[in-house]
Amino acid sequence: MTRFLLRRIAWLVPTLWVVVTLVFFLLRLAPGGPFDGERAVPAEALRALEAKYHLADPLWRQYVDFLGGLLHGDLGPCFRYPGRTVNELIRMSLPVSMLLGTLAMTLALAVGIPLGILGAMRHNTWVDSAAMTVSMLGISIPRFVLAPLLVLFFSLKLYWLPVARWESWRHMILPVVAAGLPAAATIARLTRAGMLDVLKSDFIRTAHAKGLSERAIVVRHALRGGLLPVVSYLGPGFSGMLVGTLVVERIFNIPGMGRYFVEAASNREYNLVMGITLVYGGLLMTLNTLVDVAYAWLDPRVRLDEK
Amino acid sequence: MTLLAVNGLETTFFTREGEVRAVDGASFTVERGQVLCLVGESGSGKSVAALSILGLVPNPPGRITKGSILWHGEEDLVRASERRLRELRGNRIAMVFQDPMSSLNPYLSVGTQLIEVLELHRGMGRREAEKHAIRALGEVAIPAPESRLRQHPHELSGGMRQRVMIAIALACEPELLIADEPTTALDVTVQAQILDLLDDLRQQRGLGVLFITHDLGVVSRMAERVAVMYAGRIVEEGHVDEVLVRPRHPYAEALRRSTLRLTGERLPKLPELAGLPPSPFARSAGCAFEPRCALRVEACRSVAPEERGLTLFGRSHRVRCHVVLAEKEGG
Repeated sequence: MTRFLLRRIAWLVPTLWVVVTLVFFLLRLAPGGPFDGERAVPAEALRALEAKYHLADPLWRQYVDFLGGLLHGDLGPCFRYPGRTVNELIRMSLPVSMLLGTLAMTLALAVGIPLGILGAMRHNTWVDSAAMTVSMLGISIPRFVLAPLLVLFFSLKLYWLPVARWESWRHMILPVVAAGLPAAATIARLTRAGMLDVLKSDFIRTAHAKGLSERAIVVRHALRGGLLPVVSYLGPGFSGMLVGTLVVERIFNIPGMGRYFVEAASNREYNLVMGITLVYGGLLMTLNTLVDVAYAWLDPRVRLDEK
Repeated sequence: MTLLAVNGLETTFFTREGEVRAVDGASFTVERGQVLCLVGESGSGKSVAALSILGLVPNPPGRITKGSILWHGEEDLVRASERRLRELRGNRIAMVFQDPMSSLNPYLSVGTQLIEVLELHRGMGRREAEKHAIRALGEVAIPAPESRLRQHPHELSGGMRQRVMIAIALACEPELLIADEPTTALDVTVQAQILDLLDDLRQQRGLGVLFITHDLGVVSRMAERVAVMYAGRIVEEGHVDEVLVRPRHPYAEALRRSTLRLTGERLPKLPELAGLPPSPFARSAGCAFEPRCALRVEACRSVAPEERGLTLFGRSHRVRCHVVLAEKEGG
């Protein structure tokens, strides 16, 4: 276990380096630059800007400078927001996105798992059909439709909750629901499928023959195996959630990282793109490691230390 | 003392393709300290009969449609509540299944799976149950039982797993053990060990055993009484010496002829039984064995034979065949 974690951490650095290098050169290969806009910047100003941000340097020089900065934990300045560094932007926006993503995922698990278990236990009854119809809707309705509908109903009709912004816990409810429900639907379906698969096993029949109650059978004998599909979904699902809240952040005007995601790439905000790549890559790898650890914890047949 | 008396049991599966009567009026009894072997080919309804006793037939699609299962001669398990059945399962009536590879939960340790029945049925605390569990593993001849508690099924061999299954089944000292082909998935050496073990436990504890198998070698080794099942019905039941050595029913006779005898001579080609068992969807009104039977008469096709006793060697011996009974009555 310890050796497994150390090995994963040791791999984190070279993997991120490869990702960062690829993204660095791909971005520079893409046509256009950070100061291209609808109105051309005067040639003189452009030269001054490029000199200021070392964009006129040879490519290898820029790359070496970038890696040097990275080693000091410095991602460099931001072009669009003068005076701001990429570090500052991420430090301000990442916690907001993390909070929104974590709350939404917690909601998704809290709703999705019980719904899935219920569907599996009442397989092929109206309860099962109802649960699965709801989750099908949840998967099919995109967040950019769900979020405005929630606002329309709960804010503009009922006046219960604020329309937008990220200030108190009351502001968080609608964004968290909008971001979490589609994931809850996915989790419900995964849980149901996983549970149905396990409930068919011979060892569940053994558990019945032991005289255990339905509840004990589900909780003690079926849940571990039944949740494995959910656990494998959580790695990419969770990091996807942190980014996928992009739409939700837009709609509710939440100062998270999502809005930089598209903006930075289309505006050729070289440094910001690098920062986001690092955060996302690091997050994904960490979560996948956690998923592997959870897998080993749930299924004793999985051994992490073996090659 | 009669532990279990199954009378005219009928278990039907209601499928989209039609009704399947997996058990079609089967009757048998298990006495205290006695082994009854239920033999028959795959699909003859042996396992469904066993599951019916514990109320474990998956419903839907299956359900007991007729008959009674008397526990200790009075309590009808067919009518018993789910709550009462749960009290009996794993406690007074335990079951061991065919495949020890898949019948143990791969996610839980041996200890957890053993201790949970003791906690449930005996109300033991964790520590007491653990002590009891170690003893239970020792009783089924598992070496180093203390260290096994923390192991998981995948760390044990097939024979060890089946011993664990038996230890779990016997942990609460049941009166009846239902063993559904418990040695079919094991190699012969391990099979012999497990059979000896079951036989010891039967003698020590006066355990009644319903042993399901299609292996006549196992039957002759284990059983006192044998019931032969064909197409959901018991066609012949009696003492093992009578049923295996001098079977009366044409199907039981065909089974006997199809077993090998080691006599030192060149092995003869084994006779086989022509034809196939009847489709479960189309049971005839008459005897289910009639299409394959060499002795069949006109009545076999239209009228199902009743189970009737034959007295041989002073022991009860029942056969379900028109021809055999006519012979007997005719002298």
